[in-house]
Amino acid sequence: MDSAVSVHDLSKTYIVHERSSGVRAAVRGIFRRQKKEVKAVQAINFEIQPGEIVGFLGPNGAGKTTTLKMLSGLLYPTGGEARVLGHLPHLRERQYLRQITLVTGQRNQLIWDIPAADSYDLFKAIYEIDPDLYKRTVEEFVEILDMKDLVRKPVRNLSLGERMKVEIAGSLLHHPRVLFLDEPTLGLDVPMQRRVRKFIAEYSQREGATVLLSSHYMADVEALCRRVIVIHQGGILFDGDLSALAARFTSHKKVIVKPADQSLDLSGYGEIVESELGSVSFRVPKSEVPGMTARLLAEVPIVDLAVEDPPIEDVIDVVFAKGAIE
Amino acid sequence: MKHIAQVLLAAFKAHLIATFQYRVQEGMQMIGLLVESLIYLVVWTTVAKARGGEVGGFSTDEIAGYFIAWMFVRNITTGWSPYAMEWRIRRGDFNSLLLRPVHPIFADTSEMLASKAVAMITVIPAMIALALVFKPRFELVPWSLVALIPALILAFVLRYVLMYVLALTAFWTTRLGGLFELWYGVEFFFSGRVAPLTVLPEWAQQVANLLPFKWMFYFPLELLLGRSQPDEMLFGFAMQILWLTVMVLLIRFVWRRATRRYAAVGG
Amino acid sequence: MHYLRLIWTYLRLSALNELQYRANLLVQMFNSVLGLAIGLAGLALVFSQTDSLAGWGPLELLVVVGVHTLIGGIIKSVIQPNMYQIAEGVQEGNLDYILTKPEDSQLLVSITRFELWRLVDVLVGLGVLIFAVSRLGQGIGLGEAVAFSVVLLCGGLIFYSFWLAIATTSFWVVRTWAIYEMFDRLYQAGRWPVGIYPSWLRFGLTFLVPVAFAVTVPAEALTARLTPLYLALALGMAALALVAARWFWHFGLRHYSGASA
Repeated sequence: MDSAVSVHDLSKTYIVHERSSGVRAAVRGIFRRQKKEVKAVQAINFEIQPGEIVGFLGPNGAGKTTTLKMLSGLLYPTGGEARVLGHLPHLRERQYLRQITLVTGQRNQLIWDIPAADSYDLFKAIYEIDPDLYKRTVEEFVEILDMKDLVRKPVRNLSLGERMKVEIAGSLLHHPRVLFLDEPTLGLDVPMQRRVRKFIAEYSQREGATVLLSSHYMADVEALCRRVIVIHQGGILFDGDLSALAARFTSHKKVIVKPADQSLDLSGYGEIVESELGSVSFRVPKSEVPGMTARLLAEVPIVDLAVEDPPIEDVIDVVFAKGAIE
Repeated sequence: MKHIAQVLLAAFKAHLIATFQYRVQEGMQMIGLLVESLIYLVVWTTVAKARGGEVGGFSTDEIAGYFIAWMFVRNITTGWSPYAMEWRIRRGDFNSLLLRPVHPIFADTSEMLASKAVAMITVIPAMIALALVFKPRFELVPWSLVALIPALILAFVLRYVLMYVLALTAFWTTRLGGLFELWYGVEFFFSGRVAPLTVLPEWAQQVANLLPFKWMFYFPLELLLGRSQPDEMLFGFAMQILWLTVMVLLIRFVWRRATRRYAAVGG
Repeated sequence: MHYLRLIWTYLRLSALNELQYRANLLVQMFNSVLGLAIGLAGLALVFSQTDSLAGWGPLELLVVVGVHTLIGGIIKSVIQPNMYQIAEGVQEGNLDYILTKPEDSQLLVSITRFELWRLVDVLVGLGVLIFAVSRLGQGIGLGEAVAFSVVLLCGGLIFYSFWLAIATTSFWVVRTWAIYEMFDRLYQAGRWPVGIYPSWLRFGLTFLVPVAFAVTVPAEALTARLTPLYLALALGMAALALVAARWFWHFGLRHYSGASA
């Protein structure tokens, strides 16, 4: 089967105007500006199959948004090639644009002053959606997302969470095959985040749509994506299963112990990172885990013991801080 | 007081730098100014020629001089447009300004002054260019030019405060429309912008004396052109100070009501 | 046809929405009357000093004012709100949404907004025109009416292109309200016939030319001054302006998408 997204040696270099501070430099800036090259994305490669939900992780400025923009056709690449659904995105062919959608957290594409339902009518006209299909789709989305009253109100009167719901629904009306999501749950409360994630996951499964998701919220990525691509300083640091990420990037595990006697001092067994409510957490190098746990079990009466991978957030922090594979 | 001066200076510097960044946009403001003066220059020189070389006590060359000097005074006395104000309020830009320990008007003033400084870089050459083309005639009277400096400063302050008050009404209604247009319309005629005040009918000239607009524009303009008599100059200053007092009282009143009314819009 | 349906959908939605805000109608009526009063006062001022301005008499200049108001109404209702939206969209990043739609971007940005109540100016302008033309006593035949409509349409297209070009500069420049104001000032040039500007100036000032031209020429059509040459010029200018504006829009888009590097 042909890949949905195919990226070869994709690069994007920006020219940024740089200026030192001070008034004199500012005046000089009128006549000549110093330029600096910023390599936002450097020769990255990956393939995504249809139906995959891939998470893009990376610190700010790593190149995630730039990559997404190049794939959705908003930015011209400076080098290499990207193909989505067989098209070159930057050509912005109508056939291509009909099959994709872009959702950016906190930025609205629905018209502010009119009810969402009216904006949906506009989308129907723009995307030339079959009227019956359109009607069914709207009814379906309204039902699933519980938006019956919301779509009748002007968008500006909705709360942030409500707005996001109608926005996401609007962006999927034309049944796109590829979804580009850039921080879609930004600013939403937890229940709303879950609602949105569920909606996206179900849509993808039902339609076989490919989803490229860029998010800071690990919860988004954990909930939706099996595969993650970690982008750091314009390059791909890791491309694979989320679970493998932890395994690859960390040298430690978390050992959580509930001793029978809570007053015991267990600091001799390893580095304690947390101690509360009778439960003590250790940070233990992977290689030492068997030995340390064996000793604990033998020498101390234990009520409960668990060995865990460190939380993904910590993993990511390590990844970004080190910027390399350990 | 010294603290305020320091803050103003720092703000001025920062805004100066910012203004240099917005080259094209400053250019647009310049174009607007240039075009307006040019239109009326051409209109009134045409009228003057049709009348045989004079209108409202100005000869054809003097009219040209009027509108060239017009550019200078206009640049000095422009302030925040109410639309800019409305835009800032809608975008919630005002929030951060209100949180600062210094009254927002100071931040705005430094930004205003910085942009005028930069604008002068284009205005002066434009004036020279127009002078070469239209060959204006005016007199440079030394004491008049000296008096011009405080007159210009007062004119700027006067207009600035008045515009600020008007713009503050944006706190009450998000659609400014009518009020500003009316204001602009009246100012247009009674400040001397559309034509020298001497062109206006007698009754209008009397009204112009009672309104603040003349003292914000026509008065310094006459000083620049050397057309004022000493007693007129003194009267002019008196009027400027009178109106300034009124304005200061007005802005304190309105500001207090405005901040009370202010609700964060457009977050 | 798809495009017409699209435009109609936008117009219908905007109009329906605007109809809710009846207060706006009152504000608009006030502004229209005020604008007219200012224009008339300016005319009165000029004609208190002379009988004719570069060969145009008071009634004929009234025709110019009428055309100016009429076109102003069209600009403010259909053209200006969209152009303002472009500048905002670029700054806020909402333009990306337009760019990922499978529709011509220029078309989409040109029709998103329609301020219904601004059409009052069109009515006022028409009223003034009818008044002035009837007073002129020359009467206008079918030919003149057609010529007038054609040239008026050209004027509208010229302004659209002009405004689009200004809005396109927001790809490079950030603050939007400066654009708004600049155009308002430039549009004032249209109150006076092109003929008052010395000929060398007329062609030198590329900013003034489209504005004055687009207003003066329709006025000429109604005051029996329109020559076939100017009619052709109007058509030519409109075509040129449309092409240039579209080219510039795409140039700006390419810059926005980082294609120039």
